[in-house]
Amino acid sequence: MARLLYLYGIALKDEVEDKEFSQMKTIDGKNNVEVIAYGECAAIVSPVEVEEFGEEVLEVKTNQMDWVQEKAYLHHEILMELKEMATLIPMKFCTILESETSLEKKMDAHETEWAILLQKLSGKEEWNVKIYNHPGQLKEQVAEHHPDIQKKREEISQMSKGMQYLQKKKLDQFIDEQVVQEQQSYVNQIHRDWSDLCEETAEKKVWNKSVTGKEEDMCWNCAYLIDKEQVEKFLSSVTKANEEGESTGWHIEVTGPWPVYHFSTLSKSEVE
Amino acid sequence: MSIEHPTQSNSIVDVLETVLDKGVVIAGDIRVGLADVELLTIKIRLIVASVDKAKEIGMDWWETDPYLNSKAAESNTEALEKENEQLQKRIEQLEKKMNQTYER
Repeated sequence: MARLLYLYGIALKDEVEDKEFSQMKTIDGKNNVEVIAYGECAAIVSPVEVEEFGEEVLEVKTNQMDWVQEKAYLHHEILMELKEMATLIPMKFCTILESETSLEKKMDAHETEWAILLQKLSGKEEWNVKIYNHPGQLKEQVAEHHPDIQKKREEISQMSKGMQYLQKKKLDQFIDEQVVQEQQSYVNQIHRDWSDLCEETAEKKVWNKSVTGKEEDMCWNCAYLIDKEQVEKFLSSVTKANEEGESTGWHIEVTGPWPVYHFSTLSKSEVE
Repeated sequence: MSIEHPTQSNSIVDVLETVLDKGVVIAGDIRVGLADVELLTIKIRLIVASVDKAKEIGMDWWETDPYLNSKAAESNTEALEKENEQLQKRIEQLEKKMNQTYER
Protein backbone atom coordinates (compact mmCIF):
# COMPACT_ATOMS: atom_id res chain seq x y z
CA MET A 1 0.00 0.00 0.00
CA ALA A 2 1.58 3.21 -1.14
CA ARG A 3 -0.76 5.85 0.23
CA LEU A 4 -0.30 7.34 3.69
CA LEU A 5 -2.21 10.25 5.19
CA TYR A 6 -0.38 13.27 6.56
CA LEU A 7 -2.64 14.74 9.23
CA TYR A 8 -2.47 18.53 9.66
CA GLY A 9 -5.21 19.00 12.18
CA ILE A 10 -8.77 18.51 13.33
CA ALA A 11 -11.55 21.04 12.91
CA LEU A 12 -15.30 21.13 13.43
CA LYS A 13 -17.05 19.74 10.40
CA ASP A 14 -19.40 22.72 10.21
CA GLU A 15 -16.51 25.13 9.93
CA VAL A 16 -14.71 23.44 7.05
CA GLU A 17 -17.45 21.73 5.06
CA ASP A 18 -17.92 24.50 2.53
CA LYS A 19 -14.32 25.73 2.43
CA GLU A 20 -12.05 25.49 -0.59
CA PHE A 21 -8.74 23.71 0.05
CA SER A 22 -7.61 22.81 -3.45
CA GLN A 23 -5.34 25.84 -3.81
CA MET A 24 -3.50 25.12 -0.59
CA LYS A 25 0.10 24.01 -0.35
CA THR A 26 0.68 20.50 0.91
CA ILE A 27 3.61 18.88 2.62
CA ASP A 28 4.68 16.92 -0.47
CA GLY A 29 3.80 19.62 -2.99
CA LYS A 30 1.93 17.10 -5.13
CA ASN A 31 -1.33 15.87 -3.65
CA ASN A 32 -4.20 18.11 -2.62
CA VAL A 33 -5.67 18.68 0.81
CA GLU A 34 -8.59 16.43 1.65
CA VAL A 35 -11.19 16.81 4.37
CA ILE A 36 -12.43 13.63 5.97
CA ALA A 37 -15.48 14.17 8.12
CA TYR A 38 -16.43 12.02 11.06
CA GLY A 39 -19.31 12.92 13.33
CA GLU A 40 -18.96 16.53 14.41
CA CYS A 41 -15.29 16.70 13.48
CA ALA A 42 -13.26 16.70 10.30
CA ALA A 43 -9.67 15.68 9.71
CA ILE A 44 -7.60 17.80 7.37
CA VAL A 45 -5.11 15.61 5.57
CA SER A 46 -3.20 15.17 2.36
CA PRO A 47 -2.02 11.87 0.92
CA VAL A 48 1.74 11.24 0.90
CA GLU A 49 3.77 8.48 -0.70
CA VAL A 50 5.48 5.74 1.27
CA GLU A 51 8.56 6.46 -0.83
CA GLU A 52 8.76 9.92 0.73
CA PHE A 53 7.11 9.59 4.13
CA GLY A 54 7.41 5.94 5.04
CA GLU A 55 8.99 5.02 8.35
CA GLU A 56 12.32 3.92 6.90
CA VAL A 57 12.63 6.89 4.57
CA LEU A 58 11.84 9.29 7.38
CA GLU A 59 14.55 7.78 9.50
CA VAL A 60 17.04 8.99 6.90
CA LYS A 61 15.33 12.26 6.01
CA THR A 62 14.97 13.47 9.57
CA ASN A 63 18.75 13.49 9.77
CA GLN A 64 19.06 15.74 6.75
CA MET A 65 18.87 19.23 8.14
CA ASP A 66 17.84 20.97 4.94
CA TRP A 67 14.96 18.53 4.56
CA VAL A 68 13.84 19.04 8.16
CA GLN A 69 14.09 22.79 7.84
CA GLU A 70 12.17 22.94 4.57
CA LYS A 71 9.41 20.57 5.61
CA ALA A 72 9.04 21.95 9.13
CA TYR A 73 8.51 25.42 7.72
CA LEU A 74 6.11 24.07 5.14
CA HIS A 75 4.15 22.34 7.89
CA HIS A 76 4.15 25.62 9.78
CA GLU A 77 2.94 27.62 6.76
CA ILE A 78 0.13 25.18 6.03
CA LEU A 79 -1.02 25.18 9.63
CA MET A 80 -0.97 28.98 9.74
CA GLU A 81 -3.21 29.04 6.70
CA LEU A 82 -5.60 26.45 8.13
CA LYS A 83 -5.79 28.34 11.39
CA GLU A 84 -7.15 31.32 9.45
CA MET A 85 -9.93 29.18 8.02
CA ALA A 86 -11.22 27.44 11.12
CA THR A 87 -10.65 26.69 14.79
CA LEU A 88 -8.06 23.99 14.68
CA ILE A 89 -6.45 21.31 16.79
CA PRO A 90 -3.02 21.46 15.18
CA MET A 91 -0.95 18.30 14.79
CA LYS A 92 2.79 18.17 15.18
CA PHE A 93 5.21 17.86 12.31
CA CYS A 94 5.04 14.46 10.60
CA THR A 95 1.86 13.11 12.14
CA ILE A 96 1.18 10.38 9.62
CA LEU A 97 -1.50 7.72 9.49
CA GLU A 98 -1.28 4.46 7.64
CA SER A 99 -4.70 4.48 6.07
CA GLU A 100 -8.12 6.03 6.03
CA THR A 101 -9.34 3.15 8.19
CA SER A 102 -6.74 3.97 10.77
CA LEU A 103 -7.77 7.63 10.73
CA GLU A 104 -11.42 6.70 11.15
CA LYS A 105 -10.57 4.51 14.10
CA LYS A 106 -8.76 7.38 15.70
CA MET A 107 -11.58 9.80 15.04
CA ASP A 108 -14.12 7.37 16.35
CA ALA A 109 -12.24 7.16 19.62
CA HIS A 110 -11.69 10.89 20.12
CA GLU A 111 -14.39 12.68 18.20
CA THR A 112 -16.36 13.74 21.28
CA GLU A 113 -13.29 14.86 23.16
CA TRP A 114 -12.03 16.80 20.17
CA ALA A 115 -15.37 18.50 19.60
CA ILE A 116 -15.38 19.73 23.20
CA LEU A 117 -11.80 20.93 22.92
CA LEU A 118 -12.59 22.79 19.69
CA GLN A 119 -15.53 24.55 21.35
CA LYS A 120 -13.19 25.62 24.12
CA LEU A 121 -10.51 26.85 21.72
CA SER A 122 -12.90 28.81 19.58
CA GLY A 123 -12.10 32.53 19.64
CA LYS A 124 -8.76 32.02 21.41
CA GLU A 125 -5.26 32.60 20.18
CA GLU A 126 -1.87 31.30 21.16
CA TRP A 127 0.89 33.85 21.71
CA ASN A 128 4.44 33.02 22.61
CA VAL A 129 6.62 35.19 24.77
CA LYS A 130 10.33 35.02 25.28
CA ILE A 131 11.99 37.29 27.81
CA TYR A 132 15.67 38.11 27.47
CA ASN A 133 17.95 39.98 29.80
CA HIS A 134 21.34 41.51 29.29
CA PRO A 135 22.71 41.08 32.80
CA GLY A 136 25.12 44.04 32.61
CA GLN A 137 22.78 46.63 34.07
CA LEU A 138 21.38 44.36 36.75
CA LYS A 139 24.89 43.42 37.76
CA GLU A 140 25.81 47.05 38.17
CA GLN A 141 22.67 47.71 40.12
CA VAL A 142 23.28 44.82 42.48
CA ALA A 143 26.94 45.68 42.90
CA GLU A 144 26.15 49.27 43.79
CA HIS A 145 23.02 48.97 45.84
CA HIS A 146 23.01 45.63 47.60
CA PRO A 147 23.72 46.38 51.29
CA ASP A 148 25.68 43.16 51.93
CA ILE A 149 27.98 43.89 49.07
CA GLN A 150 29.01 47.30 50.29
CA LYS A 151 29.83 45.81 53.67
CA LYS A 152 31.75 42.94 52.12
CA ARG A 153 33.76 45.36 49.97
CA GLU A 154 34.90 47.28 53.00
CA GLU A 155 35.92 44.08 54.74
CA ILE A 156 37.90 42.98 51.72
CA SER A 157 39.82 46.23 51.50
CA GLN A 158 41.27 45.46 54.95
CA MET A 159 42.58 42.03 53.92
CA SER A 160 45.92 40.85 52.60
CA LYS A 161 46.50 40.81 48.83
CA GLY A 162 46.10 37.04 48.38
CA MET A 163 43.02 36.98 50.53
CA GLN A 164 41.57 39.93 48.60
CA TYR A 165 41.82 38.03 45.35
CA LEU A 166 39.93 35.02 46.65
CA GLN A 167 37.30 37.08 48.39
CA LYS A 168 36.72 39.23 45.31
CA LYS A 169 36.09 36.11 43.27
CA LYS A 170 33.61 34.95 45.85
CA LEU A 171 31.92 38.32 45.78
CA ASP A 172 31.57 38.24 42.00
CA GLN A 173 29.91 34.88 42.31
CA PHE A 174 27.54 36.26 44.91
CA ILE A 175 26.64 39.13 42.58
CA ASP A 176 25.90 36.70 39.74
CA GLU A 177 23.61 34.72 42.01
CA GLN A 178 21.79 37.86 43.03
CA VAL A 179 21.31 38.77 39.37
CA VAL A 180 19.75 35.41 38.61
CA GLN A 181 17.41 35.91 41.57
CA GLU A 182 16.48 39.35 40.31
CA GLN A 183 15.77 37.92 36.88
CA GLN A 184 13.59 35.19 38.33
CA SER A 185 11.50 37.51 40.45
CA TYR A 186 11.01 39.91 37.54
CA VAL A 187 9.85 37.10 35.31
CA ASN A 188 7.56 35.64 37.97
CA GLN A 189 5.89 38.97 38.57
CA ILE A 190 5.33 39.72 34.91
CA HIS A 191 4.05 36.22 34.23
CA ARG A 192 1.55 36.57 37.05
CA ASP A 193 0.27 39.82 35.57
CA TRP A 194 -0.14 38.29 32.14
CA SER A 195 -1.74 35.12 33.45
CA ASP A 196 -4.65 37.20 34.66
CA LEU A 197 -5.41 38.12 31.07
CA CYS A 198 -5.13 34.56 29.78
CA GLU A 199 -7.23 31.44 29.67
CA GLU A 200 -4.26 29.16 30.07
CA THR A 201 -0.48 29.25 30.05
CA ALA A 202 2.14 26.68 29.13
CA GLU A 203 5.67 27.17 30.33
CA LYS A 204 8.32 26.16 27.84
CA LYS A 205 11.96 25.34 28.01
CA VAL A 206 14.39 28.20 28.41
CA TRP A 207 17.04 27.88 25.71
CA ASN A 208 20.71 28.52 26.15
CA LYS A 209 22.69 30.88 23.98
CA SER A 210 23.88 28.32 21.47
CA VAL A 211 20.24 27.74 20.57
CA THR A 212 19.01 31.33 20.59
CA GLY A 213 22.13 32.81 19.04
CA LYS A 214 21.66 35.88 21.21
CA GLU A 215 23.99 37.60 23.61
CA GLU A 216 21.28 38.06 26.22
CA ASP A 217 20.18 35.36 28.65
CA MET A 218 16.82 33.85 27.92
CA CYS A 219 14.96 34.05 31.21
CA TRP A 220 11.45 33.05 30.29
CA ASN A 221 9.74 31.16 27.50
CA CYS A 222 6.01 30.62 27.69
CA ALA A 223 2.90 30.16 25.58
CA TYR A 224 -0.30 32.00 26.45
CA LEU A 225 -3.80 31.10 25.36
CA ILE A 226 -5.71 34.35 25.10
CA ASP A 227 -9.24 35.27 24.20
CA LYS A 228 -9.16 37.37 21.03
CA GLU A 229 -10.78 40.21 22.90
CA GLN A 230 -7.98 40.29 25.43
CA VAL A 231 -5.15 40.15 22.93
CA GLU A 232 -4.81 43.88 22.50
CA LYS A 233 -4.63 44.41 26.22
CA PHE A 234 -2.06 41.67 26.52
CA LEU A 235 0.10 43.10 23.78
CA SER A 236 0.02 46.61 25.15
CA SER A 237 1.05 45.21 28.51
CA VAL A 238 4.02 43.60 26.76
CA THR A 239 4.88 46.89 25.08
CA LYS A 240 4.74 48.71 28.38
CA ALA A 241 6.96 46.12 30.04
CA ASN A 242 9.41 46.40 27.18
CA GLU A 243 9.64 50.16 27.58
CA GLU A 244 9.98 50.02 31.34
CA GLY A 245 12.51 47.22 31.31
CA GLU A 246 14.80 48.59 28.64
CA SER A 247 17.04 50.47 31.02
CA THR A 248 17.67 47.34 33.07
CA GLY A 249 18.53 45.19 30.07
CA TRP A 250 15.16 43.53 29.54
CA HIS A 251 13.89 42.65 26.13
CA ILE A 252 10.62 40.88 25.47
CA GLU A 253 9.82 39.15 22.23
CA VAL A 254 6.27 38.21 21.47
CA THR A 255 5.20 36.14 18.48
CA GLY A 256 1.81 35.07 17.27
CA PRO A 257 -0.90 34.28 16.82
CA TRP A 258 0.19 30.66 16.40
CA PRO A 259 -1.89 27.57 15.89
CA VAL A 260 -2.71 26.44 19.42
CA TYR A 261 -0.02 23.78 19.56
CA HIS A 262 0.55 24.11 23.28
CA PHE A 263 -3.07 23.94 24.32
CA SER A 264 -4.33 20.99 22.38
CA THR A 265 -1.77 18.36 23.22
CA LEU A 266 -3.15 14.90 23.12
CA SER A 267 -3.54 13.36 26.50
CA LYS A 268 -1.95 9.96 27.18
CA SER A 269 -5.21 8.14 26.78
CA GLU A 270 -5.68 9.67 23.38
CA VAL A 271 -2.33 8.53 22.20
CA GLU A 272 -2.79 4.88 22.95
CA MET B 1 7.20 46.31 20.61
CA SER B 2 7.92 43.81 17.94
CA ILE B 3 5.18 41.46 16.96
CA GLU B 4 7.15 39.12 14.85
CA HIS B 5 5.21 36.91 12.61
CA PRO B 6 7.33 33.87 12.23
CA THR B 7 9.09 33.77 8.92
CA GLN B 8 11.81 31.69 7.37
CA SER B 9 14.65 33.95 8.32
CA ASN B 10 14.19 35.11 11.86
CA SER B 11 12.65 32.47 14.00
CA ILE B 12 14.08 29.04 13.50
CA VAL B 13 13.80 28.38 17.20
CA ASP B 14 10.20 29.57 17.33
CA VAL B 15 9.02 27.44 14.47
CA LEU B 16 10.91 24.31 15.39
CA GLU B 17 9.98 24.38 19.04
CA THR B 18 6.32 24.65 18.15
CA VAL B 19 5.95 22.26 15.23
CA LEU B 20 8.29 19.52 16.37
CA ASP B 21 7.16 16.98 18.86
CA LYS B 22 9.55 16.06 21.62
CA GLY B 23 11.63 13.20 20.33
CA VAL B 24 9.05 10.94 18.81
CA VAL B 25 5.85 11.87 17.04
CA ILE B 26 3.29 9.91 19.00
CA ALA B 27 -0.03 10.90 17.55
CA GLY B 28 0.36 9.16 14.21
CA ASP B 29 0.89 5.55 13.14
CA ILE B 30 4.29 6.13 11.66
CA ARG B 31 7.08 6.31 14.16
CA VAL B 32 9.19 9.35 13.50
CA GLY B 33 12.24 9.77 15.64
CA LEU B 34 13.53 13.33 15.70
CA ALA B 35 16.57 14.68 17.42
CA ASP B 36 15.58 17.10 20.15
CA VAL B 37 14.66 20.62 19.20
CA GLU B 38 17.78 22.08 20.74
CA LEU B 39 20.12 19.98 18.69
CA LEU B 40 18.14 20.43 15.48
CA THR B 41 18.03 24.18 15.93
CA ILE B 42 21.74 24.43 16.52
CA LYS B 43 22.49 22.25 13.51
CA ILE B 44 20.15 24.16 11.22
CA ARG B 45 21.39 27.49 12.44
CA LEU B 46 24.96 26.50 11.77
CA ILE B 47 24.10 25.67 8.18
CA VAL B 48 22.19 28.90 7.63
CA ALA B 49 24.79 31.01 9.40
CA SER B 50 27.78 29.54 7.65
CA VAL B 51 26.39 29.83 4.13
CA ASP B 52 25.08 33.38 4.61
CA LYS B 53 28.14 34.62 6.41
CA ALA B 54 30.51 33.12 3.92
CA LYS B 55 28.69 34.79 1.04
CA GLU B 56 28.60 38.05 2.93
CA ILE B 57 32.35 38.23 3.17
CA GLY B 58 32.80 37.12 -0.43
CA MET B 59 33.76 33.57 0.38
CA ASP B 60 31.86 31.90 -2.41
CA TRP B 61 34.85 30.08 -3.78
CA TRP B 62 33.11 26.72 -3.64
CA GLU B 63 30.89 27.81 -6.48
CA THR B 64 33.85 27.71 -8.81
CA ASP B 65 35.96 25.14 -7.00
CA PRO B 66 36.13 22.02 -9.18
CA TYR B 67 36.26 19.71 -6.20
CA LEU B 68 33.09 21.11 -4.70
CA ASN B 69 31.10 22.04 -7.72
CA SER B 70 30.67 19.54 -10.51
CA LYS B 71 29.28 22.12 -12.89
CA ALA B 72 32.33 24.26 -12.47
CA ALA B 73 34.40 21.14 -12.92
CA GLU B 74 32.66 20.29 -16.18
CA SER B 75 33.09 23.71 -17.70
CA ASN B 76 36.67 23.71 -16.54
CA THR B 77 37.46 20.45 -18.29
CA GLU B 78 35.76 21.64 -21.43
CA ALA B 79 37.87 24.76 -21.52
CA LEU B 80 41.02 22.74 -20.97
CA GLU B 81 40.10 20.32 -23.73
CA LYS B 82 39.52 23.18 -26.12
CA GLU B 83 42.81 24.79 -25.27
CA ASN B 84 44.55 21.47 -25.69
CA GLU B 85 43.01 20.99 -29.11
CA GLN B 86 44.06 24.45 -30.25
CA LEU B 87 47.61 23.94 -29.04
CA GLN B 88 47.81 20.59 -30.81
CA LYS B 89 46.71 22.23 -34.03
CA ARG B 90 49.31 24.96 -33.70
CA ILE B 91 52.07 22.43 -33.08
CA GLU B 92 51.00 20.44 -36.11
CA GLN B 93 51.10 23.55 -38.25
CA LEU B 94 54.50 24.54 -36.91
CA GLU B 95 55.89 21.07 -37.59
CA LYS B 96 54.52 21.15 -41.11
CA LYS B 97 56.16 24.52 -41.73
CA MET B 98 59.44 23.30 -40.28
CA ASN B 99 59.42 20.22 -42.45
CA GLN B 100 58.73 22.36 -45.48
CA THR B 101 61.66 24.65 -44.66
CA TYR B 102 64.05 21.73 -44.19
CA GLU B 103 62.95 20.02 -47.35
CA ARG B 104 63.90 23.10 -49.27
